[in-house]
Amino acid sequence: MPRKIFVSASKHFLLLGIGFFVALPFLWMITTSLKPPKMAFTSPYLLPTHFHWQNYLNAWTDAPFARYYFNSIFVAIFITIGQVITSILAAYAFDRFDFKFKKTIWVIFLSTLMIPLPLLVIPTYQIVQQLGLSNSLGALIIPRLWTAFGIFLMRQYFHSIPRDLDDAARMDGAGTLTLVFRIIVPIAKPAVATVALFAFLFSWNDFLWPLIALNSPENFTVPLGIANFTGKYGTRWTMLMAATVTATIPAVIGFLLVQKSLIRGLAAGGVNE
Amino acid sequence: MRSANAYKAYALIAPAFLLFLIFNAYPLIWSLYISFTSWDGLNPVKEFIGFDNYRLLFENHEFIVSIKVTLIYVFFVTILSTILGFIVALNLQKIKFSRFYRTLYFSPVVTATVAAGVVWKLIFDPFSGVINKSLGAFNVMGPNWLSDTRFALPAVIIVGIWKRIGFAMVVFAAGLASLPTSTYEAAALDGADGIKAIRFITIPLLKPIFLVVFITGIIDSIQVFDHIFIMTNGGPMGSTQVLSMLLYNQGFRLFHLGTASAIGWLILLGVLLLGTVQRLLAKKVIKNA
Repeated sequence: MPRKIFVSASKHFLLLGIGFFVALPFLWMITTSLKPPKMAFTSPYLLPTHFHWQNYLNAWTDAPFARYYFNSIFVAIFITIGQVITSILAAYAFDRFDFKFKKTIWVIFLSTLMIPLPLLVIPTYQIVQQLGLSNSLGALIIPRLWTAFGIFLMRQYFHSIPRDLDDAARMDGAGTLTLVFRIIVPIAKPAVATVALFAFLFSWNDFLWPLIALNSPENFTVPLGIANFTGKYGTRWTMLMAATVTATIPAVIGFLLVQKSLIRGLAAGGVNE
Repeated sequence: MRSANAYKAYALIAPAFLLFLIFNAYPLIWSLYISFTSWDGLNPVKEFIGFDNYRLLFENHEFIVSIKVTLIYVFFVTILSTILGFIVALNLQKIKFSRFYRTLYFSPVVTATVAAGVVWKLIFDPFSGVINKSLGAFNVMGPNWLSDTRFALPAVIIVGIWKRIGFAMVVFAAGLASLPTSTYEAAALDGADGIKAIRFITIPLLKPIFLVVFITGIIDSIQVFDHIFIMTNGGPMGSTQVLSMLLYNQGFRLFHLGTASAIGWLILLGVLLLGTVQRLLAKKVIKNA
C-alpha cells in the first residue's frame, strides 16, 4: 500500500510540475490584469491580491473590444455554418455514392491539408481583391467555407450509419437532400458538433490571414485587436493584460465547456489518420 | 449506383470542389507562376525570370539562416511537446483529478496564439518579467531573452511547446485508451509492470500514434507565425525569423511577391517530402506491428 501511495503522489507531483508551466501565463495574466497600475512590476505575480477592475474599464474604453468580439463571432459563425454544410454534402457523396474520379478527388482533397497557409495568403489576397472583397469580413469568411478535415471527419461518421435508413427513406419518396438533412444529419450530431467546433476554433484564432486581408480597424477580429492594442499600450501592462484576459478567457471557457467533443474529434483525427 | 446517381454525387461535392478550385488549386498554380517572376504586386507586367528567385534564395544568407531557425524550431517543439504530451497522458490514466489536469493542459490549445504571445512576451521581459524577477530572487541575472540572439529562439520554442502539449496529450490518451488491457495483465504475470511495461509494451504498441503526433507536429510548426510575430517579429538579427516570417517580410513588407511565393513553395515541398517519409514509415510500422 505505501508503494501505491508513493506512485500516485509522484504522478501528481509530475503532473503539477508540468501543469505549473502550462498554468503560468494564465495565472500571471489574470493577476497582472487586476493590479493597480503602479504595482504592475511588483509581487505578487501569480495569485491576485488586489482587484483593480478599473483596468478592464480602461481597456474597453480605449479600444473597441466589443466591436472586435462582434467581428470575430460574426466571421466564426459564417465559417462554421459554411464548413458544416459543405462537409455534410461532400461527405455524404463520398460515403454513399460511387462515381468517376472519386478516389482521385478524395486524395486531392486530403492533400490540401498539407498546404502551408503562408503559401496561400499571397494569391488569396489577389483573388479576394478581384472578387471585390478586400478589407471586408467577407474576405475572411469566403475562402474558409470548406475544409477537407471536416469532410474527412464527417465521412468517417457517416460510414457507421446503416444504409437501410437511406433505403427506407428513399422508399418513402425522400429526395437526396431531404434524406441527408432529415435522416442522416440528426444521427450524425456528434460529428456535426466536432466539425463545427473545429471551424469555430480555427476561425477564432486565425491571425496571419486577417492581418493581411484587413486594414481598417473597424473590421478587426479579436487577435488583430490584441496585436494592435499591444503596439499602442505595450508599456501599460495592467491595462494590456486586462484586454488580453477579456479577449481570451471567455473563449477559453467556452471551448473548455465543450471540450469533450473537441477532444473526441481531435483524437479521432489523430488516431485514424 | 454508378452513372444513374453520379450526377447527384457531383452536385453534392460541387460546393466544396468549387471552393477548392478557387481558394486552393488556383492559388497554388498562381503562386508557382509568380515564384518564377519578379512581380511587386502592383506592376501589371510580371517579368518572367525563371528559377532566379529560387537560386537567389539559396545564395542568400538570410534565407539559409531562416531554414536553420525553422528546422531548430520544428525539431525542438515537435520532439519535446510529444514527449511531454506522452508523459502527461500516461500519468493521467486512472488518477484522481484527471479532469482538472486535462482541462488545464488543454487550455493553451484553445487560447488565441496572439494573446498567448503577448503574455509570454511580458513574462520574458528582461527587467520586469516574472522569469527574470524569479531568477533575481536567487541572485541570478537572467538574460535579455527576446533581444538576445542566443535566447530569443529558445524563448519562442518554449511557447510553441506550451501551446502543443495539450494536443499531444489528447491524441496519446485516445491511443492509450484503445490498448487491450489483456496484454498488460499477461505482461504483469511475467513480471513486467511499471516502467518496464511502458518501455516494452506501451511504446511499441503506440508507434503509429507517435508517428501521427510527430508528423502533425512538423506540419503545424513548420508554418509557425503568430506568436513569433508578436514576441520578436523575427528578430533580433533574424535569430527567430522562421520561414513564414521571412515570407511575410518579403511579400508584405518589401513587396517581393516572387521571392515570397518561392519561399512558400519551398515550405510546401518540405511538407510534401515529410509526408512521403511518413507514408513510408507508416508502412514499415504497420508491417512490424
